[in-house]
Amino acid sequence: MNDSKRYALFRCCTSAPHMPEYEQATDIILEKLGLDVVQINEFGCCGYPLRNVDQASWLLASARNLALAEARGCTLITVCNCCYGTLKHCAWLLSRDQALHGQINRALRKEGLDFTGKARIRHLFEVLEQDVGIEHLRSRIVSPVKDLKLALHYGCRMLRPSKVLAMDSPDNPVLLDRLVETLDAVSLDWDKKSDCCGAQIMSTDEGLSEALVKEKQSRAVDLGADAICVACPFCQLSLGRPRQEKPTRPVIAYPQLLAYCLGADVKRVGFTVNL
Amino acid sequence: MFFTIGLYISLTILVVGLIYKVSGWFRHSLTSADKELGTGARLSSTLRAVGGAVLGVNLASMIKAFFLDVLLLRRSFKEDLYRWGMHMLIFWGFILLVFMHAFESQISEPLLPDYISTLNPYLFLREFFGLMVAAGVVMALYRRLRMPRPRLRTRSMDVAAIIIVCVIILSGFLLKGSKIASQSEFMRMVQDYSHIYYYEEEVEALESYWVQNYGLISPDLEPPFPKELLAEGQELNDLFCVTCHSQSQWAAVSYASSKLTHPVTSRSDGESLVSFFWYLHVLAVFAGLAWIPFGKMFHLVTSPLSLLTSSARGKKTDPEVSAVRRNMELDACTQCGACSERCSVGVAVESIPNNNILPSEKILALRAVSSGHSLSSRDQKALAEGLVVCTNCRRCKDVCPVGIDLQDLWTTVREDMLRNLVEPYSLSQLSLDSILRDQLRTRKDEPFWIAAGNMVKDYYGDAASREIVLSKKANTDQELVRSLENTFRYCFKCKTCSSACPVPDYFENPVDSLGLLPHQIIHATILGHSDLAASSRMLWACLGCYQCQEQCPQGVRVTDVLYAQKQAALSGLKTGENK
Repeated sequence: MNDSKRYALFRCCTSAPHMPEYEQATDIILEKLGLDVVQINEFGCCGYPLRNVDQASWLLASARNLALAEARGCTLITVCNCCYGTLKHCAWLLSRDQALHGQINRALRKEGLDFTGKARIRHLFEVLEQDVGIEHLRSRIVSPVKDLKLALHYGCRMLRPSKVLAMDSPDNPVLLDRLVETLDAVSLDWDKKSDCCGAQIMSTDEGLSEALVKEKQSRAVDLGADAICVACPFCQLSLGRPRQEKPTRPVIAYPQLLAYCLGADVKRVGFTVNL
Repeated sequence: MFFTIGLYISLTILVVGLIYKVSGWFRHSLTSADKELGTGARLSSTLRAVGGAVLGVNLASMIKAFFLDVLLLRRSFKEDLYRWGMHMLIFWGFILLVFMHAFESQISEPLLPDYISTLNPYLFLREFFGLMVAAGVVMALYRRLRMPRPRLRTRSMDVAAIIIVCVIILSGFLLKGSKIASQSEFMRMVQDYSHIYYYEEEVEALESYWVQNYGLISPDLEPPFPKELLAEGQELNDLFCVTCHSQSQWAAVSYASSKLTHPVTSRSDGESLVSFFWYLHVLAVFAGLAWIPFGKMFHLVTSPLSLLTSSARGKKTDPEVSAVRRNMELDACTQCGACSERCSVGVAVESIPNNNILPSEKILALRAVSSGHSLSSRDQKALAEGLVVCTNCRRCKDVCPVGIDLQDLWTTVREDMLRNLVEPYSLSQLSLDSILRDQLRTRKDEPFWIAAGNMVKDYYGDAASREIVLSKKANTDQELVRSLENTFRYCFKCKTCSSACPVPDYFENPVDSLGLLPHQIIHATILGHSDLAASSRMLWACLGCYQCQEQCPQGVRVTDVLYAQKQAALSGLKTGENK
């Protein structure tokens, strides 16, 4: 296993054009914490949207990114659950199916790439907890958001399938709670923490997707949350879509919150919660 | 006479071609909305926009773009140093040759008072510029033939461009080489620049000296020469030649190529060879000139335009100007492949055999659409698929060396095309960008992914009716997806997946609303009835949240099976199978 402390930030296709502040906040965090980050321009789509239409396209797209990270000797870090889950799932599948692995590699070799399985895929939050360390992170906080009441929303592809991802408990996750506590914010207790945001079916069952979001938003309001705190751009997109029903709670991404607490300018992280 | 007539013919073709191509920007329409915009309106809007940009605030950024992007190829530099080096060599080599050599009497002679093409530094410089182009061409060939660029497609236009540049440069070297070796050239110079033409002995001395020192190959004289003869030759050389002819060795490649002419020049005065290469060189240049508007080299005109336009683009652009700009951008694309190399889903062509997934290839199809060729229904479908298999990440636009707003092209054409055509893959996360833009509508004014959903219902609709189900035989040898390891066969129908699934909770009567519940989809999979799965709303309402797979006591990869069924359903729609 390639355990490099050189990180390659994997940028999500959706967050770059639609939520630049998400990416900017991530860059600020990496910079402020002094992590060794390399930029791999050749990274492409993680494969998540392709997975809905064609299996091999998904695996090709995923494995290509993994092979690129391997070639540079980097640990790939994501800030998007869907990228995380998809990339890790691909590595898991290929490591269990030699024929498929060979088939994918034959295509990748055409551009001089080779996926061996050494690539390490990590969520930014894992890096924060394990490499940076909760205590160190706490010591770096300059503007804590004391008593900010947050309804945490982990997102599916950070947790499940746990056999593949093995990152946190699939039912009672704690990682984001621990990270949020370093900012002096309060994680409210609710049962939607590890549920789906509905982004996946925005195009295939719009009505159901809406219903899911509506329920979450109204629960968050009832809970007395100041904001819903998410860990994935898709959750932010889905839960934060402008809607008719009011009131709603703003949806902030943990990276935005952390960047703010590390001392970044509110404008640069696109903060929308009135603190 | 030949030269003048040839030049005027090729210039005429060039000018007529340019007018024809540029007028196309004002005549052609990429979308049905563009068709409504008349040529006159486009012309006046474009003139106004150009005037506004040049007179207004954009001038400074346009001048900056001209130097950095047009002359120094900044965008390529940022993206790919090899491609930048290659293009700089060809571009600057050619530009310098054109100014110093092709426009010798218009530019070099009046501007450079000491200019004589056979005298250093000019003799050496012309050779050097030619070598720059040649080196660039070698790099281009190496890139196309040897470098691992699976998404770079080589088309006849690329081959033609490389061939024409090669012929111009090689014939240039060989022309110079044959002149170096040719006795007739030597005699012409003797006649023109000395007064010894009629003195045989002096000519012999000078000729011997030139054979010895300038690479001249004489059919009459052969070394070794007596010292006294060479000494006399040197005297004459100093007297008549050195003031306007440097040693031929300074033109190293031509000098080397002059040796190749030995079989001819050692037996004749070489006049025929010189004139052969002269015709070849001049004809190649004329052909290249006339070809500019019609092939890849049209980018000489369009690339700078595209770069300047993109540097000057304001916040609000008239639809007329956008229509013209898009047509111009289609012509500015050389299929260099930078976008396809970096396309975030480009690698998918290895699995979905459709070149239109690659941005640079999509441009070719869009050109056909724009110039009014009616695409066959198959080509239309392929283009629509290529437009949908796109994550709208805007990387293509960011890396385009000539600054084409590719993302705008895709979005605009997709919006237009999917009004009339249903693309099954839009029933996926690939539609996310359109959803967020909340723009794309079909003729019936519904989002196009809804149209794709309806297509699924129409296609697989009957499958769910119970009579048909009962009459169906189990189709157990259908291989769904190998990588699933058939985990679904361990299902004992405990329905844990269906209770773990968050979707049924949102319906009063889930079975009626959803068609099949997750455990029933697994059961349909076991029986080989993918069509049944496809017809259920559940399959398309699957959140991919992996609750079912997480909870399954039998280790059935429920969610993965649902994904596989979705893929099978869409592929069935495309191929007309699986019904």
